[in-house]
Amino acid sequence: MWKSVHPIFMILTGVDSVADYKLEPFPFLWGRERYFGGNYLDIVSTQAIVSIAIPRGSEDVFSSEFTIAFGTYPPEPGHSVFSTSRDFLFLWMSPDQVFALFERDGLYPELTVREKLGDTGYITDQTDNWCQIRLSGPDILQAMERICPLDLNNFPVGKCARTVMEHLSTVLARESEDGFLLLSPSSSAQSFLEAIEQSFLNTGDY
Amino acid sequence: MFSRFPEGGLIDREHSFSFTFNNKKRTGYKGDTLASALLANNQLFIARSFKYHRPRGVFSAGSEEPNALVQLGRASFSEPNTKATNIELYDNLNAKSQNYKLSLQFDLLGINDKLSPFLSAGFYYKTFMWPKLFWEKLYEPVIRSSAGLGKLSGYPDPDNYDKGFLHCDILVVGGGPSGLLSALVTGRAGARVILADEDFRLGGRLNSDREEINNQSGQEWVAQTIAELKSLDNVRLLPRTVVFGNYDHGIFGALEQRPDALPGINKKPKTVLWRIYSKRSIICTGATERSIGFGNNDRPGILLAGAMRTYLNRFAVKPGDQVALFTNNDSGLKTANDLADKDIAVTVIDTRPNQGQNTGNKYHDYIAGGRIADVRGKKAINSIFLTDGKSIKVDSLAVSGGWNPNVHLTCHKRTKPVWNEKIQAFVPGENLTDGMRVAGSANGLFDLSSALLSGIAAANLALEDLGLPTSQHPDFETSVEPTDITPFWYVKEARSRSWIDLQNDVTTKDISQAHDEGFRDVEHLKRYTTLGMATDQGRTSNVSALAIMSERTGKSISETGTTIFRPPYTPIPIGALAGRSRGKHFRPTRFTPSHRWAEKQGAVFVETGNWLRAQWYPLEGETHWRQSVDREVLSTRDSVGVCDVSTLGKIDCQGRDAAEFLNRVYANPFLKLPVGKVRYGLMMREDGIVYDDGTVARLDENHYVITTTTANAVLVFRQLEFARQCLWPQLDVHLISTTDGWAQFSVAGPNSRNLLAKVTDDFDLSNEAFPFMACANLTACGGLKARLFRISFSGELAYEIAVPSRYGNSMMEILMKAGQEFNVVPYGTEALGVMRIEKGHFAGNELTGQTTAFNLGLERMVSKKKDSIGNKLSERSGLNQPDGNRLVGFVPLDKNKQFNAGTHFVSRGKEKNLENDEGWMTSVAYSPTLGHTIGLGFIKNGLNRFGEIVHAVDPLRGNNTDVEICSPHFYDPDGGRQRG
Repeated sequence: MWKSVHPIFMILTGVDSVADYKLEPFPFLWGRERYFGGNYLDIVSTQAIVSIAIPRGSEDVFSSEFTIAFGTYPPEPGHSVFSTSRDFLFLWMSPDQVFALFERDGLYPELTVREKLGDTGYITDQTDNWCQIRLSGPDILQAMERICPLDLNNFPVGKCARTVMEHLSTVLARESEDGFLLLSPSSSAQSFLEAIEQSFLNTGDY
Repeated sequence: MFSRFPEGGLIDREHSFSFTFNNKKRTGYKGDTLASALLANNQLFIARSFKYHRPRGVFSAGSEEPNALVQLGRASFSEPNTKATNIELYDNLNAKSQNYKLSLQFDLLGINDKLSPFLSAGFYYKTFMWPKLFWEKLYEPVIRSSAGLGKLSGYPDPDNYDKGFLHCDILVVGGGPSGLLSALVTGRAGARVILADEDFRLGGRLNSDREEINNQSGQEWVAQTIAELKSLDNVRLLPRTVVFGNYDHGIFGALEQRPDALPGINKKPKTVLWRIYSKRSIICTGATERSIGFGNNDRPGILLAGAMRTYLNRFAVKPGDQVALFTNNDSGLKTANDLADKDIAVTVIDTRPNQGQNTGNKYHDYIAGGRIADVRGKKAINSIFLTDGKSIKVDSLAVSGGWNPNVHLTCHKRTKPVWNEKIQAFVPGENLTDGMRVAGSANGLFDLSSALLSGIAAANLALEDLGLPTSQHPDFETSVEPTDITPFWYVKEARSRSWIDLQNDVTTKDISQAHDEGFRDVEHLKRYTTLGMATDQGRTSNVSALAIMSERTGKSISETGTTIFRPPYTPIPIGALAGRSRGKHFRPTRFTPSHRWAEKQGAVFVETGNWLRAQWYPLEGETHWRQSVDREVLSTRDSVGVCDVSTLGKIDCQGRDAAEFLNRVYANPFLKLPVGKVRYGLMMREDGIVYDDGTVARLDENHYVITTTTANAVLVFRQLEFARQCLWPQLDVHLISTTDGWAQFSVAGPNSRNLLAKVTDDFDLSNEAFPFMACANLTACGGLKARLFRISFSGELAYEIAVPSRYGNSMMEILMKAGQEFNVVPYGTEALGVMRIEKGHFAGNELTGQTTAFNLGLERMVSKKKDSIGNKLSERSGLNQPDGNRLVGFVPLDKNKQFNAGTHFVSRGKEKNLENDEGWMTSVAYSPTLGHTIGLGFIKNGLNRFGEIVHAVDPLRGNNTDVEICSPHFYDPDGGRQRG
């Protein structure tokens, strides 16, 4: 798949080694985890996101392979589902697209999914496309109703949706009674975070 | 004189507030409005009227107030045109009168009242015509300085505002008896209910009247009902919230005044603008009282009868010892009764000749069939004169001409209200949309019992719609409320001006004049006289005016019709509409992956859409942007430069039919693009106009990466999704944006290959192994996945290397570090633009939405061996005229001269006018490579005119120069450098 998928260091006289040029990751959001009263805003930075597109005409095969690989059916529209081992969370994104979220253990999360699914789906690494924020606490709905057009009072655990918050594309999944996972494009992560923070500040004495 | 009763009312006497009105200290109580507190302090004269600057006082007790508009707050917190009747009193409130010159008591513009014979309706349509010279020098400045009511502070608004979204099964608008009961019935049935009311105290008329429900006082019933509603988790109460608009699909706009946000106290939003999504709605917005026209009926101390009842019962304001009441209906008599019960001497003037038999001895006097002709007391009423010549000394006067149901929300979606003869008012029309029901006096049911029953009925219908259980509520025992009315609109015998619209100073005479001059249609009447405009929207005046017009025309009111209401129901501050969208919250900012590095270098940034991009990187000693940009261009062309181009749209395209899909969306062929190759692609709209351009890289058999321009990234993705989902759903093709996922850097210049060799892992970059327009997956810097594309926008030997975007900042640092031996420079969007103009590439400036492939000289790219979006319509003869516009280059004849984009071309010897316009300059730059200004532009038949000299005409800047038409490819026209 890759022309060179393993590190190969250049050892040429008079030329710097690539070891001198080690790339360091820089998180999209940093140092902004904080409490708003009893509510916690957590920046998720170790979770990979991989998009799986379902080949047209192979939906049944995909479903079958998916079930074998993860021990669960693909998520229903508007829902999320965990793999049996609970190490993968799948979000329904569109009629032929699912996001897989899992702890990142290397630079090629797409290969992790590929190993599980084989050639059944079209895989795209989406990890760096999104910033991820996890909200938990008793006052989330009060804050979120300032920016989220969805009816979150009618959004049970296991539901997920795409929406727009403060002009920004958002994927939203309810993880628990008082917890949500939010994804938004990484380039505008700061604006997204500020919008959420402002919503807490506007609705409570924090 | 007005005063406060020592006890009673729904005010909290334990909490007194000190406030200031016109710099004078006053005292009020928690639960007061500013209007009630002012009246209790015997402050009757509050404002000046809009046109004639007549003294005015409180007229109503709600948002229909036409007179008592004040400037609320100090300095930058100051807010004009706020209604004293809507302002909930708080400690240290500061308010001032408005719309006067000098002082409220002595207003220089009070002269307008003396000049009223010259300022009647429509005077401004007839005057100020001559002398012409006076218009801008005299008339306009004078009119502007005297126009308007309150004044903006001139400072940025320091208050905060917010917006939000609410959802419910049933929205109940109005917290009066029918609204409360509707909410209770639907809430008990388990529906998710929102109850909104503009007042800070729920209860509506029950807070003002002394009616009883089931032998309880109205206020006790309200308290009990609210307590139960609060106990229901599925019910949300929104007092202080005006529902101002009814929009499609059950969506309502509502503005909530936040009680926890007092001016200057904290940073909480002052208002929240809610968008409420409802499945059903019940409109219980009540009714608004109207006045009767008679001489000087606008004087301070004259109030609507219902309002006087509110101040009397709810706010414990005593409106003097002697009060007169002028009415044509039974509702007015309720005020008389309440006044009499407080031992106030009431004189009732009832226009109905046959009433009064059963009034007993309650009143000081009862004059059946009486009419008020005039009043005395300029700044506060002191006596009234009847048409029979009798005069009566009074402290105040209450007037009731009947009630108009508040039908506004039922009209916002074009349902016209209909005239109801019995109540002499318009009621909501039929066929309301989105499951809307109307109850209570908003539906013309003015007696309490009917209002309550209609509330239950509307609630049950809504529940039935939603499949929820309905309820059989027991009948209510309420006081008997007569509601008879005999229409009486104005006193014909009045000699002085009789005011209909108090806010716009429209009189009965103005309406007659509109009639006489042919403005008889309601819409014409409104615009000619300004009736019903401004902050009160004619809520106390519209129907009376229509009635007078119908009398003049001899038509019925029903035939005369009414204007229709549009949102908003009450004025909504611009700040509330803006919400939090100010400063950093105005719109999102997108940062490039190398932004932090660029910031450290002191880069100058430019907004490109939402992106913030480095425009240039000034070095120490560079004092002008051109120095920086010229250096960046020359260094790149001389050795190597790096630019963050991550903002270009990137779309991952996979599937068995991906090639076929691309072949259909691009004008040029894509079926045979080999794996590992990149191809330039031209995308057209359905109409054959160029939409966007970019590259497509084939990374694998069924895997492509599409790039788009920065500006069109979202639009192209949307267009491709439309094509995929709607045009060719049978194709197996899948798209996902990866714009934010990859940090991409253009590495351009003769040393770009050498630089990349230092950061890529064992990758053969030679021309043979990786030629122009090649692409590959590879690794960089010891194993990080990367993508490499050999493409060039600058015209140099160039590559674009992409790494996952969280490594982008680091990648930029490494490229700079590794490139030190080549004197690498970072370059920004300015240098990028200069180099693309030198190379002759078109960009956003050239794609005007009317540009064709022919215009760009790319007509041969539109393959005729296949079909594609826009292919057929691009063949239209009008788009392919031989002498049509062509993209060419331009250089100044005098190389020291400069010109600008937007300059138009005229052939030499021809007059410089639009008729001789042959095209325009689209992009211009100073080329440090060539040492003079260069430009790209469209000119007729341009490709056959190389060498011709034309005028470049720039009348806007007064900069005309002669330019020579040349090839658009100023730099390396053969492309040897980029292929090298």
